[in-house]
Amino acid sequence: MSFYIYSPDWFSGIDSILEIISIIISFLIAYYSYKTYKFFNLKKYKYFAVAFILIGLSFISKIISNLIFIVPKKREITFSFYQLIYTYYSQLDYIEDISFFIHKFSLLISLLILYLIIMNEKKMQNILMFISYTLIISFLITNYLLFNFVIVIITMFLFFINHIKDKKKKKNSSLSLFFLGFSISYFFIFLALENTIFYFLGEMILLITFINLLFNLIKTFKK
Amino acid sequence: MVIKRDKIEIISDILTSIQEKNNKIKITHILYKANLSYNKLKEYLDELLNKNLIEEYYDKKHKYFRLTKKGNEYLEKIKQMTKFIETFDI
Repeated sequence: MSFYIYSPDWFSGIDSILEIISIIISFLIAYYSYKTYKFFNLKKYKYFAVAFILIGLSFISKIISNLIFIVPKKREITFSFYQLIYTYYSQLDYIEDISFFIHKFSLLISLLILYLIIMNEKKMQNILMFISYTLIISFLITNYLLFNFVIVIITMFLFFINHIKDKKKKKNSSLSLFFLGFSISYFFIFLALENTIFYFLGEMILLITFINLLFNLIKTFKK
Repeated sequence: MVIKRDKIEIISDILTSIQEKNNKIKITHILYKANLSYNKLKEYLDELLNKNLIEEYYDKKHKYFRLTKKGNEYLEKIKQMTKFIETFDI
């Protein structure tokens, strides 16, 4: 299972390059969030950093999963010995499955962490229950990527609603746009089953969402 | 957790008040700006002096406070981190 099937042929591989930008931005946010935690000792920023590391990790595993999906086709000619091809393929399949699982699990866990921060959930019992559910869902949706999309779309959209409704939050908080952008981009990726052009649009919206986040981060550190 | 943040806010107020007065401020002005009791302010000032974030000096027999280079850098860091929290307010 891979995102490769949703992408237009001409866009395959380019999406991975675009996602590298999102990965770098995710890690930058995580780094400064962790620095904020160390400085003010605000624990929620430690978890916020973890959430963004996991978002970055989910993109890394998505790239690996996509690359493996492409690679065997290109290497087929190189190996003539059947046994060797078989071993090669099965190992790659194995890595693809693992990276695809990491993609789903880390993205869902990052959503869960954001949810726990937003809801100010501190009960360990509830947190463990949520993590167990996430693990189960990740295993169950091995072949149902669309289910994963639906979870991301709904959760991110609810975060957006929650964030703009909270009057305590500053109006210029860039997170509202991040949640909305993430939700819309996954909605487009969801539509890619009908037409692969939507995958391209979804990826572009995701990139703009992350660039907006980077723009706000740079603004923060401008004197 | 909250206590630590409050402490940083107070330190930020003290350092900002010194900076705004162009590095020449009397303790009474800091007292007014930081909105603290005299004893509490004295504790904070001692801590800031020990950490080499501010220094005291005399001009015409009056005692003044100014930011050190380290103090300026620290205030800048507080401002940046506060801006980060405002921008990424979750």
